[in-house]
Amino acid sequence: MAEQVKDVSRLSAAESLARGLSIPRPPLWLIGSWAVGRLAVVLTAAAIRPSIWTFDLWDGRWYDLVARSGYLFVPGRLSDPAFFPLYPILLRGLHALGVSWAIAGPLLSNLAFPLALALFYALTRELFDASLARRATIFLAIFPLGYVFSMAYPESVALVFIAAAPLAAMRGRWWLAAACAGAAGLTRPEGLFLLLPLAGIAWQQRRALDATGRGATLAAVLAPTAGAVAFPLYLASVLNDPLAWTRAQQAWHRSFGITRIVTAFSRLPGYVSYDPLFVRDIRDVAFFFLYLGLLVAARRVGTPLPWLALAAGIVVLPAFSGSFTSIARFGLVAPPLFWGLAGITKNARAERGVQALSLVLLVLATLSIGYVFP
Amino acid sequence: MRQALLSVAMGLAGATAVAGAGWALEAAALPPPEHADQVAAAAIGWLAEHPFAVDVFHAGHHRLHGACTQGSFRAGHGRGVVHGTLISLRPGPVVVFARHHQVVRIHGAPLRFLPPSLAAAVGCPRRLASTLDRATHFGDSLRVERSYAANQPALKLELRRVHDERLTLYVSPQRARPLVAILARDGKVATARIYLGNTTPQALRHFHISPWPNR
Repeated sequence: MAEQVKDVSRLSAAESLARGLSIPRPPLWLIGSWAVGRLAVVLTAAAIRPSIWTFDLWDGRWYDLVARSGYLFVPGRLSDPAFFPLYPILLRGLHALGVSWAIAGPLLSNLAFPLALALFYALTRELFDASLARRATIFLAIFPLGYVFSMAYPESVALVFIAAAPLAAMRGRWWLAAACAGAAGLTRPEGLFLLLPLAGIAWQQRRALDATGRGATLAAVLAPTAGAVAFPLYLASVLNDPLAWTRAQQAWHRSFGITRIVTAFSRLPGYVSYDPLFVRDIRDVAFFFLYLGLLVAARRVGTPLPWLALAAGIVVLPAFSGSFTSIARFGLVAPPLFWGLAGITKNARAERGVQALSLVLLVLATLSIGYVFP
Repeated sequence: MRQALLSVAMGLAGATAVAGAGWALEAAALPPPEHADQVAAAAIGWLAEHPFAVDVFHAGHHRLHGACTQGSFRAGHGRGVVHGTLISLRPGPVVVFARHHQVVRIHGAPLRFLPPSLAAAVGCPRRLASTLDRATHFGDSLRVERSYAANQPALKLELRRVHDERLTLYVSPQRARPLVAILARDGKVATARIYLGNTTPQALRHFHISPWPNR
């Protein structure tokens, strides 16, 4: 192993990238499940409103605003420092290549998603057997909340980095893992939790690494935090306010505290109302409890503890902001949830049943684009 | 020991490089905010922090006082409670702008030269904040220049004309505290000298404002 790690350090950057993230040729079922999921989303969205704008709604507008005009913190109002920067930077890059603002978001998300699926499959293959990897990948491709992967939201890009960083680390390409982990931290706050599986992988490989390798390992473990820290540093330089992200979150009624989970639960009865948004709120609460169940299932299939901690952080921590809002969407970038789902569907009939239910819910959830927020 | 130190140094250098590269990417790729947008954002901060304001209005050749606040109010005559933005003009009516465009006149007759909706749009902090906030979402809809207002140097923040409406807000140069707003709409022009402050019982009594007590 030490030999292998030394050899890796002599590779050129391009070779390292190619080897670190090399994925097997996507099997037909992967392409098929991706196509079925996307068709379900696109056709349903087209039925609501035959326009690309369907996929550019809600938070997509905020990312679009950041990409066009940069950040501006407006005290006491909803403002854009609540949104992490890498996705709007990529939108700006696409726009510079001649893609219109309206198309850039949906195009970027839809290009990133098949890559995310392939990387997720490769990662799952490294951790589990091929059968579980297949089931988990198909569930991810057609998951009910998966319509977000086609919208101008950063989830598909975040998933690319969240799958790529540990995959590269498991293959001993720690500098590549550091770059991907840093990018994940710059894309979504959930990227921060990558330090847990990366630390776990580093611990497993500790005996095979020399001093240089250990340095790269430490860099990769710190990289998600470093990537995320780059955001407040930038906000400090342009807005003179490194806490603009936190303060912008408060306008969305999110402020973190130990007792805020009690607030989240105490608000539950108020979710039942005539406001159409209550559908979203009820859905998010339902998915919160579903995710907790899937975490238990993930543990049963032998998911390593650092990965479980990552998923628990992604699912449970937002509840400490005093709200369950959007937890259903946040869970999309937590791979262990899909490993758990694959774990409870070993039986072919159960697998087909969950797939069918997932597709139906995906169509219904896509219909909700016209009514409520994700 | 030396090897361990080398590993830690490399790790920290790598993490710093990631943070530095992230910052550099943001700085290179994203445009900095426009000065006019920043001034508007700071003014919105003042307006959001002070939902109560006393105004001196000028409309046509008339000059009158008014007060504006947010909350729940007794509608009078057994009509219960209304929630929203209240504007009280002296002399003039007391009107609440509630949700769903509902307008509830609590007492007094409307003034021909200063309709309550115009007074609220130019003199109510939350209304002004909403107008400015919308403007910050659309590129180059705001312009800022040095000027003079309320007997002091000021920044003049001009909103691009939307339909037949034009708003100009003068703010203090250092901290962008709103001083004077001018709104032209439907052929009428109203000016408000804005005094942002805190609600006091005397001010509420003076302007005939009866808030519904919070329980």
